[in-house]
Amino acid sequence: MAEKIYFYDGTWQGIMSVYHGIIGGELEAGVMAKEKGENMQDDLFSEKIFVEAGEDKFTALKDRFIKAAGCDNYSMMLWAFLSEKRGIEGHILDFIRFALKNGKGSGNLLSEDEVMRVYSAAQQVRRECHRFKGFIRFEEIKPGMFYSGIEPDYNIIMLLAPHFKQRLSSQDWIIHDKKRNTAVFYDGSKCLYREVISFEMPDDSKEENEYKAMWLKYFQAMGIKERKNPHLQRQFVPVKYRKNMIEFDETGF
Amino acid sequence: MDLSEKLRILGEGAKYDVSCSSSGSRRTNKPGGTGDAASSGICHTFTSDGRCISLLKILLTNTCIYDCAYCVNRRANDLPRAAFAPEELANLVINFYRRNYIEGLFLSSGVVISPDHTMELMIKAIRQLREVHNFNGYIHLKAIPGASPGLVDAAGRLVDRMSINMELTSDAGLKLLAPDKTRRGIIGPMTQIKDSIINYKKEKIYIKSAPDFVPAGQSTQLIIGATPETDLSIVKASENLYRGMNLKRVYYSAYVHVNQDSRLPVLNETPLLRENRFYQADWLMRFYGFKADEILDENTPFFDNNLDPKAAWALRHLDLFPVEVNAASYENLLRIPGIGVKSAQRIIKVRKLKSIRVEDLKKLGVVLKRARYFLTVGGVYAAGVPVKDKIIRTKLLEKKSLSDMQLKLFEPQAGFLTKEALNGGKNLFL
Ligand code: SF4
Repeated sequence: MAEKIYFYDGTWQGIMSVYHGIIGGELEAGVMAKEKGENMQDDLFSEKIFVEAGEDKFTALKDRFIKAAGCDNYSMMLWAFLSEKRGIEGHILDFIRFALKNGKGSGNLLSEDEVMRVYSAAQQVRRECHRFKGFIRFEEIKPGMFYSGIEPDYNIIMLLAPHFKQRLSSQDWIIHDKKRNTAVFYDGSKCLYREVISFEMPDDSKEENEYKAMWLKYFQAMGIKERKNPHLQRQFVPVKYRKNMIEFDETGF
Repeated sequence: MDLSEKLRILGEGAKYDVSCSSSGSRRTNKPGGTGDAASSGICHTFTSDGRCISLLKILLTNTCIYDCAYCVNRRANDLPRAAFAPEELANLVINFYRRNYIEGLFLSSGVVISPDHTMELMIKAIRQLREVHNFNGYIHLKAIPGASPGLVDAAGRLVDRMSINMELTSDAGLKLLAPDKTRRGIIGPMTQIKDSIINYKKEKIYIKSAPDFVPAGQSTQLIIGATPETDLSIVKASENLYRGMNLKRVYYSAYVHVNQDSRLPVLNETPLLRENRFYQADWLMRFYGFKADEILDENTPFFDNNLDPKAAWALRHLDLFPVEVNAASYENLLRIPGIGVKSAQRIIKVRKLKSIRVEDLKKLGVVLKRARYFLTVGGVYAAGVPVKDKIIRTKLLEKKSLSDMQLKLFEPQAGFLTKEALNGGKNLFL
């Protein structure tokens, strides 16, 4: 019998709709892949099925899951999904089944593989998200409008948005994921998540350059020369993040 | 003097202050405002020596009428002096915050004219931030010893955390090294802050709109190694501060030799390892249920250079080990070297589902390399050596490269982040 491959639109709603079908018995077991993802190669022996994202299917599974296993486990799955790791769709399905059986405490049972796989992916996303709450640097590109471009490993800008909406509520801002070409736009009241077609960075104003220079100076003054430890500094601020942080110059140091 | 030069000088003057935490407050943003102090443990960058920058740690001025022997800013030192105008500082903070450079402000100062005059200037800067810029981010104020109660009260209503650095735990030490400060000038405001936190909280029960007073609590800092006190006496002092003053945190700062002064010890190097031992001990008191006189005692009044205090305690109490992982209480699990708060909690949870096997322990976060000498799993003791002090001691000895060593030194801070996040309940799956 041909193996089934379920394609979905790449969104959380999309994959949840696939899970809904599989758990409800309407779909046979199979592997899952993003529509435009790496698994698209032609494989004569498998049967490819596209599953449409459905609001009803999504909500039904979400409600059932939260009722049985709680919000914490639900967010853990979502975070794991945003890791975009290969094969994560299957691991999340295993976890859903496990959690529906074992209830609210499921996420703590790290000795079980079904939990550990999703937990560790979620943990990596959580860690990166937490880091970026600090590492994001905004610059004022127009009066009252602040821009930040980042290149995170995981798809985290949606997770960052509520944090900045809470603290920077009286200015407009944009967080731009330059890797995925997506952005969150905040206009003083709500956040919009959009694909970015193109973006051109305006030149910095004099004031902006002064703030950047002052921050750099402060940053350098705070280091204790006698205890210099680049190794430790790299562990805390990996080089890959430095490009978009003004206290580290273009070369990343 | 231009602003960026002031920033450099006044940042330099504040950088040895170790506290950097921005946690524990519940101040949230208001409509039309900027800033939120309720999330915790966000580091915005790390310095070249690997320390977290969270708050803009800065002095209002580095001019000082006092002459504390251990301090760079003391009167006797010849160095460039600078001062911020309160408005200038407020403006800088809000603009840094709006760019997400910082999590808030940690303001401290040398003493100009008098403690009260200095406090007034600091309050002015903070009031400007809160009232003109509508800033609701985190503010930690280092209050000036000897400041009058009215000013301490006014400040407490504006800030999230307040600290008064005790620095030296003995009267003799204080007289010798900080002759301008009095014990009363330190203990007085500390007690006032403690009492006010309690009283304002009570008031809030009846009057919802009553102001918060120092919602993130009070902290202090002790210098390690400037005077000859034993580690035991400092750990005890610290325990008393936690108990008697309800402090949220005690910070420990290894004495750095910055001044030539005959009253000061001449140390070849900054006692960083010793400082780290204090953080480990502090950790044990706050999260592991240890008492000061369990950590050290009259027979062992100093920390062991080669063993962390928990391992040292366990070796002094080998009669209590090994402990059975499938049966021990949470409190007893916590006493096992290599088992932390998180792994102990996980063990308890997994135990409800099934009995724990050796291969589960690593996944639950147990550091087996250390823990295996102190536990049994299903009645089996797997360390393969007798439970004897000397044997286990050599197994546990820290053989570490220098960079590992330095890494460890900063662990308390890193660990602190996770712990606070856990307590805040905001991060769902630590
Ligand atoms: S009062 Fe503070 S700033 Fe002044 S000398 Fe003493 S420690 Fe230094």
